[in-house]
Amino acid sequence: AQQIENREQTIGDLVTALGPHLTNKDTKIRIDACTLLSNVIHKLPKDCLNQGELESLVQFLCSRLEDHYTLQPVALSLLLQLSSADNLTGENACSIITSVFKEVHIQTCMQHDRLKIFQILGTLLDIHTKDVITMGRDFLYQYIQVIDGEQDPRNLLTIFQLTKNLIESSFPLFDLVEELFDVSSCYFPIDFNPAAAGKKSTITNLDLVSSLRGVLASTKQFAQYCIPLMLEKLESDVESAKIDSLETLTACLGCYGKQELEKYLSSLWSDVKREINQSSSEQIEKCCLTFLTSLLSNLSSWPVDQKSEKATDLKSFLDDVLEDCVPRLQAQSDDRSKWMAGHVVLACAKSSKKACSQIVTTVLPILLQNAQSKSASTTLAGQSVQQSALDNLVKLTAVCGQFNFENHPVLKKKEEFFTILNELALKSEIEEQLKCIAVAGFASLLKLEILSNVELTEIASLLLKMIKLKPESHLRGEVLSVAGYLSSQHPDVAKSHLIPCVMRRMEEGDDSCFDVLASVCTHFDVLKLVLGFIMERIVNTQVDETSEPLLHACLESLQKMTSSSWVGNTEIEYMALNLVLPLLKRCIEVTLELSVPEQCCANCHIFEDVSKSAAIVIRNVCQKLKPGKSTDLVIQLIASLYNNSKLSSLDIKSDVHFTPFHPKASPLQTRTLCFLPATICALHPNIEIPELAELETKLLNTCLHCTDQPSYVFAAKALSGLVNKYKKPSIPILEKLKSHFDTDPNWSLKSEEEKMMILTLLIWICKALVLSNHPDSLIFIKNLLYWMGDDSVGEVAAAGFDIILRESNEVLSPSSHSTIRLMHKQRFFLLIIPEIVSSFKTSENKTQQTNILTALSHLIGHLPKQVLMQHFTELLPLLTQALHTDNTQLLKSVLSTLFCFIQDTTEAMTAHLENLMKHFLRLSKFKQDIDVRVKAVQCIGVVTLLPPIVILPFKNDIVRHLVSVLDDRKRDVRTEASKARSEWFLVGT
Amino acid sequence: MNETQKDNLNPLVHQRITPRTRIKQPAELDNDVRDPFDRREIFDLIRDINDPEHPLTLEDLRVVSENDIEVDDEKSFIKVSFTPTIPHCSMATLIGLAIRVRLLRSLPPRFKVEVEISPGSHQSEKAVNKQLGDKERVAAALENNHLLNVVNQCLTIKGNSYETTV
Repeated sequence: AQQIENREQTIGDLVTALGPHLTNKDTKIRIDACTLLSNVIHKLPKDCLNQGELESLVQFLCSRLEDHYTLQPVALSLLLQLSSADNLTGENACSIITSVFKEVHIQTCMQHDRLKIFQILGTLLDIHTKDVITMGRDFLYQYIQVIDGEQDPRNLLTIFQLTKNLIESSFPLFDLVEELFDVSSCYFPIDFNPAAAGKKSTITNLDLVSSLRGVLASTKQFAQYCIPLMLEKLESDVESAKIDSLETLTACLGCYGKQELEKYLSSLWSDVKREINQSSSEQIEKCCLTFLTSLLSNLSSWPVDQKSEKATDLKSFLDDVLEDCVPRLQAQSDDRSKWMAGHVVLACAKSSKKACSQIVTTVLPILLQNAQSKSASTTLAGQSVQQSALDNLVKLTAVCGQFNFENHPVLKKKEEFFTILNELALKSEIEEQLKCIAVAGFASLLKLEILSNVELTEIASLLLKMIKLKPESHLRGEVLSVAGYLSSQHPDVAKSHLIPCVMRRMEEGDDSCFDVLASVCTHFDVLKLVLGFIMERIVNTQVDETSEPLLHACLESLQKMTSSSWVGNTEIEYMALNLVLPLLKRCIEVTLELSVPEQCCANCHIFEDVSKSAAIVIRNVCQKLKPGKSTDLVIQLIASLYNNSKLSSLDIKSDVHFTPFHPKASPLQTRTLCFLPATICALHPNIEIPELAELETKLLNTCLHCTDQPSYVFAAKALSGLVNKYKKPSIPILEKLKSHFDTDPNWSLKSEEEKMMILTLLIWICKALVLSNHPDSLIFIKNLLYWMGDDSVGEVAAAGFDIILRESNEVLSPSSHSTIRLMHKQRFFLLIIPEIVSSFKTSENKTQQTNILTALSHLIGHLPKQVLMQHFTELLPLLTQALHTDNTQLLKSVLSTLFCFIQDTTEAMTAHLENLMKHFLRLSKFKQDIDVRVKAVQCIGVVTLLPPIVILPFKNDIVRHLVSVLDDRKRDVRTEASKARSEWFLVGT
Repeated sequence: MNETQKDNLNPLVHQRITPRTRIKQPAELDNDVRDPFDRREIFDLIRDINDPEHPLTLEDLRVVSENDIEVDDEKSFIKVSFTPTIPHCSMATLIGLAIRVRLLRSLPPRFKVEVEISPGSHQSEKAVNKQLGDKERVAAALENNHLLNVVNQCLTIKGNSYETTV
């Protein structure tokens, strides 16, 4: 083959060389020769063979088709390969087709041979469309014969595709339209069950259904046959057939026009009406409504005869529909037919502008009348009538919002509608739900953009009044979102009306409106106004007990504003300058005021809470900041504030020195480090941080020397955030850390406090490195394991595993742009598990063993089951060891793990089962804790899932033992015990 | 069991009244407080017993209900009354036996358990009650392997109850 490709040898030579074999009298040898030829050709690229070669090959193969029937499969696969060759002429294509039709008796072929033939036809049709079309009626006639009676789903799929392509390539159908339709439509409706077919095919029912639908909906010439067929199938009793025919009809509408549909309009409507009214399935209703919508949009595009006096087709059809629906809508009862009528009307309105306008003019007055009905307040039925009318009203107006009217149909009734909503919203005695609908009605009216300014203000004041009534949370949320929408569309109304009202109320001492302010911030102008107002309040408020709720409310609304998804780049930059900086400034000012010794008092803890939520607000903004000028400015100011203790960078005037990194500074000052994780660690990694190395060194210093617990935790968090994100610049600091941990020999002599500081740093650094799959992680983790042997802080080290794997909001979270690699937990597990096992085995220190087991249980809690399964044999001995402890927490987590794994790891289990059962039985009487008892009993119960032959020896013992557990003090334990005992009774029966 | 042999071909399926999950009182979480046995706990034990004839539970058919159970934790006494779906139900004894066996397996041995047909709901009420009340006869019945299998079938909660939880 290589040679032929390189032109060293021609295909002719090969054929000549094979000559004797190809013409041998023994059919078998001829087949072998052909197979060889086919293998050779298969390896050739598509454009390798020239026209002459192809022609002779085609001729040869076509004559082979006449040959013995056993040769046909090979010849066909050769032809299939040739049919996609680039240099094949149209003539040859035609001759292939004719000879295939003529010589091969297709119905008697095997499935894959038939598939090959269809594929040959498909490729030839694709490539040589024009030539095939010249074959005309003969081709089509043969084709219909060939595909007739096909049964294999795989072939059918190809045929449907082929037929669709054939029709779409505008192949003339001559007088064979009906035949072609019949040969495809006889499969409708398809109900194919791959499982029942017993073949491992990947074809689903849906594939077949949709490809057949493609054929049926491919041309309008089928309309006269297709529509009656679908209508007939619609009457069938099978739900899937109904759905299928409705969906096919919907698909057909894509290519049908007036000419095809006109005859059937009335029968279509009456059939669909019947289905809607009688149907028992939601899906049929849905299909009917979709069909109606697309039918009507089709109708709307029909050419309108301008001169004729007669109503348009669309109008008369809609008249029919409305004639049916209007009485039902008017009915003073609330039942299904009314509900469906509402849906039909909505589906029709959805279809087009014209339809919508006609429907609105007819239906709107009826609905309005119903919604106003006097009986509403008195009777229960009246209420529901009102509610459904209102519901439909709101939905209808929402549908109107989709179209752009020159002369809006709702306009005439606007005022009436408006007053109804107005009344409803303010009435105190009506239900919450109705009010919600009314509020939604305002929203849909707003969307139509037909309201005048006066009306807009009215809505605004109405919403405010509703909020004043202190409605339930659901309604309140609804009102707030409408207010937000209002201000996003009409910021001037919000500015001139909504906000001044709220502000006035707040100045009068009503502090319940902060969430209103936050939720109307949906436009930049409004945002500026509100932000300024809130910031002013914060800055002018003293931090003390009386102002605490106010400050929290302010910060909460700021949180809401900053975390809303609406906020864009401009807004964020504005917030960075006008929110982050002033807020930070204020916090630091307060710190300085309070850090004068005599000022430090009871207010400190209040301030701590406040600064925590301020940090959240700041972090929200910083996370969204994009690299840019104003971002750089903000960062520079913050960095110089901390790095150089320059109070002037935030324009703070104070006599007190700001020394946040100094270990001996007032704790209040060092605690302002909590703003570092919120600002510098939350930034996009592309933003450059000035003097990063210096900052890191200072943080490290604080971590190692500052004795105030919150301060060094903040510092450790900040440092870990930096180390994680800025890998390269942080290398020196990591080296420093490494040497610090390695060379500090007398750590055991240090006080507990100092150990805690170092350990906190170690845990956070580990987390930073593990998240980014850093190569150095193992070094630090080994240190952590070593610390677990320490009597005083070993437990903390074990808990560190939890910190490492748990997601934290503050730092090292995805929203703070930290480097978090995929599967880092799994990698961490694989990295650490040999270490854990070996250090557990070598350790002679009881505390360390317990702590390692605790760490392991944390580790297991954070990992998916699949990962653990693979290492279960290694873990099992450790877990069994862990059952010896009295540590409730550890026992609980180990028992839950075992509970999950017992049935999945039968083999590993059986060896340890006896030992484990002993532990379970003992722990089922564990006095100190119910949960341990419950879990132990559950484990006993889940063992019954193991093969009976393994567990039968335990049956009597366990049944006897559980008797005493049945009388446990706690009901939970008893319930589990009786469950487990019943299952054990059934073992082996 | 053949379709034709069923006593009640088309039993009324009732709504379940007692909620599936029990809301825990704070005291139940406290390890030091003793939870007394109560009606609900006993009902939870027997509600899922399968009917011998239909693929329904005793709760669905309202053969047992929470109100037909008497519990005295201190005196260790429990009485369960059950109502067969029809007065001539031939399965009444079997149902009673299934309830008895379930309670035998799930309650501490200190309890004296009475299982009875609620008054006036069955033709041969007395005979059945006598059978169910006779310890020896119950024990003898459970020696019979075939009968034990039928009872076990009633007590099997659709496969192993742990499969769904894992």
